[in-house]
Order: sequence, then C-alpha cells, then structure tokens
Amino acid sequence: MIWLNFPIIALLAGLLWTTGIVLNLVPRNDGARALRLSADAVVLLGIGVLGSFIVALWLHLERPPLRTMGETRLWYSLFLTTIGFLTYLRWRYRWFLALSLGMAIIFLVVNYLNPDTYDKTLMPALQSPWFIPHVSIMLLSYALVAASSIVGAKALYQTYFGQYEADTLKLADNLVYIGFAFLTIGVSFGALWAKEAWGHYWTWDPKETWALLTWISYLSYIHFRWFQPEKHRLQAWILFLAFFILLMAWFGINYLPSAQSSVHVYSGNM
Amino acid sequence: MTAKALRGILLRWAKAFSGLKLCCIRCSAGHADRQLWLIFVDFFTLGRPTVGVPQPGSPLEPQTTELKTRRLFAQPWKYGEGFVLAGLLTTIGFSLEAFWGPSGLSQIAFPHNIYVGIFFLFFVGSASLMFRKHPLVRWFGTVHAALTSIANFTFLVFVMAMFPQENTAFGDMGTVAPFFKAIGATRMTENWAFLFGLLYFMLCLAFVAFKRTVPFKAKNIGFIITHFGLLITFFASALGSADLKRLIMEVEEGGQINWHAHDMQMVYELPIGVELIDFKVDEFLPKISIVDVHAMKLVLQEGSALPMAKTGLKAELLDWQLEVVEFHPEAKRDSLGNFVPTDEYGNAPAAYVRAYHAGRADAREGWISCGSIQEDPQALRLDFDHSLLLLTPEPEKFSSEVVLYGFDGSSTRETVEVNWPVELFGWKIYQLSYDADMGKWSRSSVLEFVRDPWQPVVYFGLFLVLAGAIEMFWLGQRIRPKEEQEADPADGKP
Repeated sequence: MIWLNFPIIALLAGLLWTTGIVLNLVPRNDGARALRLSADAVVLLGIGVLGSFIVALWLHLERPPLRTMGETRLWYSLFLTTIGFLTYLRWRYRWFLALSLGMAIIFLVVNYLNPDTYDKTLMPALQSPWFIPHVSIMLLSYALVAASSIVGAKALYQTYFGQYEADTLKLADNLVYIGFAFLTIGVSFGALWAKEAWGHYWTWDPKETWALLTWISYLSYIHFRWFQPEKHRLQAWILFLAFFILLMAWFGINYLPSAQSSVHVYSGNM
Repeated sequence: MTAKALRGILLRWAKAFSGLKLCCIRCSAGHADRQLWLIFVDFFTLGRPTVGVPQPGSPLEPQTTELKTRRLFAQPWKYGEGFVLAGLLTTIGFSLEAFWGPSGLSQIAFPHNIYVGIFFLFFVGSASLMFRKHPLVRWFGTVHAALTSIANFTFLVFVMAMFPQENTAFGDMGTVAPFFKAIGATRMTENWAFLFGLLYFMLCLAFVAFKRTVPFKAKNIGFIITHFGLLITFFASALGSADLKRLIMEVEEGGQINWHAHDMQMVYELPIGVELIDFKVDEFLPKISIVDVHAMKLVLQEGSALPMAKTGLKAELLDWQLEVVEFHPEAKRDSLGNFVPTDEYGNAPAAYVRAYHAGRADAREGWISCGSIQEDPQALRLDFDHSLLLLTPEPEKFSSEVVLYGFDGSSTRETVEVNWPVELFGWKIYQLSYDADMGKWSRSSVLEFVRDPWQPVVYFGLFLVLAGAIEMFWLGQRIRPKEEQEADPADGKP
C-alpha cells in the first residue's frame, strides 16, 4: 500500500464520510434506529479505511508516516473524525460530527489535489512524536472556540437588533467547554514537547504567550458565565473579542514585531 | 489568636478613623480630596460601615442620594473593589519597576523559595480554615475576586505579548519607546506588577481551592483537581524559576573530556564529563530548482514542491522536463570537471541532469552541485534567463555520539539528538547547536545541560489540570438551576 493507492482510498473514505454527513444532517427523531446505525456505520467504516491505509503505509515505509505534511494530513483526517465521533457518542451533537467529517474530507482533497506539495523535509525539532497530537489538538480546539465566537456574534446581534434567546449562548457554552478542554490539552502537550525539544516547558515564546491569552480569555468567559448567566451581553462581547486574540495566536503572531524568531514562525525559511 | 480577637483589633482601629466623614467614592461631589484616604481606610477597616454611615439597603439610608449605589469597599466587596485593588497593585508594580528596578522573583532560589511556598500555603490554608467567615477570606473565594484577578492577569500577559521581552530571544528591542522600557514592559516576568498580579491570582485560586476542598464533597472533585492543579503548576513554575539551570557546553571531536559548562554569568563544574566521539548531520536529499539569473531568485511554482534529486528521477519544472541521469550524495570533481563519488572530507552532492524544453530541439545537459566547504557550486545554464541549481541539502537530524563520565566513575555511551535528550544525575542533556559554518563537516557540538528540580512538581500540577480538562470534556456545562429560574428582565423579554 503506497501513495499511488491514495486516490482510491481518499475517494472511498470521502464518499463514506459524505454519506455520513448527509445521514447526520437529515432531521431524524429518536426512533429512527436504522438511520442512526447506518450513519454510525459509514463514519466508522471511513475511519477504518483511512486507518488501515495509514497502517499499511507505515509498514511499507518502515517508519511512522509522520514526516511529510502530506502524511500529517492523513493523521489530521483520522484524528478529526475519531474525535468527532467520540464527541458525538458522548454529546450526540450530529452537527459537530458533520463538521469534523467535512474538515477531514478537506484534508483528503488537499492531499489528492497536491500529491507533490508535501515537502519531504521536516526540520529536526519538528520530528517528534508530540508533533501530531499537539498540532492536531490545537487546530481542533481553535476550530471549536472560533465556532463559539461566531455564536457569540449571533448573541450580540440578537441583543442589539432583535430578541436575545437564552439557547444561543448555551450552544456557545458547549462549544467553549469542549474547545477549552482541548485547548488545555493542546497547550499542555506543547509544554511537554517543549521540554524534550527545547529544554524547558515554557519559555514565553510569543506563540505561547498568545495561546495563554486565548486560554485566559475563554477561562474568564467560563467563570463569568457560570456565576452570572444573566449578564449575557457582556459575555457575548467577551466571546467576540476572544476571537481576535485567538486569531492573533493562530496566525497573527507571524506578523507581529515582538514575535520574530519565535520557534513557531516558519516563514522566511526559504 | 482567634478570628474574633483579630477582628476586634481591626474594628478598634476602624473606630479611630470613624471621625472622618466617609462617603462613597462614586458620590464624589465635594469630597474629592478624601477619596484616596477613603480607599485606604476602608481597605484596612475591611469596609465595615463606620459610625454615622447608613448601611446600603438599610431603611435608614436616604434613597434620594447616590449612596444607594453601594459604598466602595463596603462589605460584601464586588467587582468595583476587585478592579480598584488590581489597578492599585498594577500601578504600584509598574511604579516600583520604574523607580526601584526589577522584582528579582527569579533570584529567590533554594531554599528560600521553599520557605515562601510553605508560608503561602500555610497562610492561605490556615486562614481559609480558621477564619472562614472573615470578610477578606470570603472575598478571595468569590467570583468577583476571581474574575478581576483573571482580568488583571490577562492585561499583564497582553502587555507581555505586545512588547518584545528581554530575557527571550524574540523580537527587536530597538522599536520600544523608552517609557515602556522604564516601566518594565519589556521584562514582564521580572516585573513587580507581574509579581503582584500573579500573587493576587494565586491568592484567589488558593482560597477558592481550599474553600471547595473543606468540607469535602465528592461532586467537587473536578473543581478541586483543576484549581489545585493550576495553582501548583503556576506556583511551582514561578517559584522554581530561580532553581532552573540552563548551561551550555562546547565539545570537540577528539578533544578532552569536558566537565565544565557555563551560562551568561559563570562557569560551573558538573557531575558529568562529556567526550564527543562523533557529531553527525543527516541530510535530506538536495532539491533541484530553477533560478532566474537576472533577479537572482528561485522560480517557484505555486502548489508544487521542488523535486529531490536521485538517480533516475524524472520531473517537470517550469516548461522543462528534467531527468537525473546520475546522482551522488557525496562526490568531488575529477581533473576533467566530472563529479565522482567519494567519501573524502569536504565532498558535495552532485547530479548529472538532462533538461528538455517543449519548444526546443536540443537538450541541455551537465553537472549541477550545491558545492561544499571545499567544492565550488555548479549550475547548468538552461536559457538566457534561467539556470538549473542543486540546493544545499536541508538537515534531517543532528546528533552527537558521546561518552558520558559520571563523578562516581561510571561511563555510558549515548546519542544526544534533537527531541531526544539524555538524562543523567538529574541533568537533561540536549543537542543545541554545532559549527554552522562547517555544516555537516562540523567537528564540534554544542550541548545544553538543563536541571530543573521543580519540574516534577510542575508536571504533577499539569497532570491534574489535564485530568480536569478530560473531566470537563466528559461532563461539559452542567445546566445551572439558577439560570433556569432566572426569567431575566434584562433579556428584553416581555
């Protein structure tokens, strides 16, 4: 099993997951057992197909396929769908499962369209078992809390121009709680990795500082929300503003004068 | 001394001030000169209502005056008091920084940091157990204290994020205005304001953690784990920073055993001696690229990576079909200018390439090489504007094969590699650098020795936080009955 087989694998997994998205987005009541089981089955089958491809590739390469960007995208797809499915099992958020399946399909399509774009070189500091868990969990958590900020914007709109509905921020709560949990895990994994690669778990690298800011922003949202659920306007503002801090942490620091030579800035390597 | 006695003393003190006509900071009319006093007095009297001032909400209170908004620093404290406290701490902190100098938090080394830690935990622990009802103890356990301390800490981290920091290698200090340098915006981890902010944050965290722990309830486990975990992580990493040693050691192939390493200030003798057997750089295969000879820039195509040279490779770059006839990762020129494989010192990768262009009948062919410390580079001219290049290979792995000698006479052979440090006698040894000018021919290696005795404590806290995060994921936001009951008029619902 090598990269030449990838298009067929991608097509198969992509079709299964697209079916999964459709089946999950179709409105259904609790009694629709056959529908639910078949939706679960196609998602799991897709995960199985991609998982076996990764295992086969691993055996073929005689090294873990963790080196190239193309290979890491395979893992993103696998992790996203697995985490999406676990979250769905626990929380029954079908929209969340659909979202993670959609993101995973995008990664598969990118890999299919640009079979050569994965740079085969990876700088030594990035060649670590921590690379995949850290990056994929950070991406996932950023995606989740970013989604919560969109909900925050909706709440703001409702507050000022319409009728605020209590359910709006409750949806944001769920996103923030799951996203914040992953954010905590992602940052911690980053710290554990940093200890192995750079000698210390926290060096106030600008990316770390901004990630901490993001983390505290959502921390304050959680506390404020927990103790004073009625002050929804300010909470919606916190969510909305936290998004900009998140954007800075995610890509903004690449353009910040105080962040040059950060270990997380990879521009200018050419 | 019991809580009651202490409160008695404070009350007496408060009464001494009771002659002052106190009023709310918000009803500032006519008493502007008294306001600072007021905060000061109220702070030390714990905001107890003094004689003659009606308690907010009491029937005595004249409803017409602005006193019906609460007196600042009247109990129970709310957000206003929290923000004033945080603002004062931060202002005093930045002023101290400007007029006195850095706080020297990172100077409190063993054993003093242990004393500070024990004192803090003992102070908070005993205060929250014995003086539970004390207004200050109570206040530190409220959401008002928690949120204002979080907001204050956010502000301080924000300052840190916006200014390049002196003790890190990131950013350019030249761009910072002198004012911000003076108040220490560029050395936040050493800053008094940061120290105070952290202390405020830690106090809230500690009081709230103790408050929820005693009396113990099983349903609070998640709360206790995350809050104590965070407290331990922050506290241990701040207090332990003075005991962190990061030392640098240079070793030379064939050189003597080195027992010494240094930081910016001094040289230390280590319990470990290092003999460098071999420093190795593994490289990726070199990439082939086309260069615009006039602009002296690589011509890159969007969406496709450069091909890596190997014998038999066929690739397309711009409109050129390339074929690598021969590739040698290690080669030198012979007298005719052809590259022949060799493992001699100073060799360079080289490829013999044929290039066809769709619009031309003839093919271009010849050697290309990126050169090395001994060989000159060689390009292949394709047309008037373009040449074909072999790029210098990118490093895949740095590693130092060393023999480590212990002070106890032991010796082990180890490979120190990026991402794979070696641990010995409490020291972690990292591959840090090498002689970059010599590239893969470097005969010297730079190792970093790190000793962080507080790391297990920090990790313990971090694992508690992680466990809390997993609990949080699993349980999620529990719907609060309070929210359900709240038919909030502010919601704009009729």
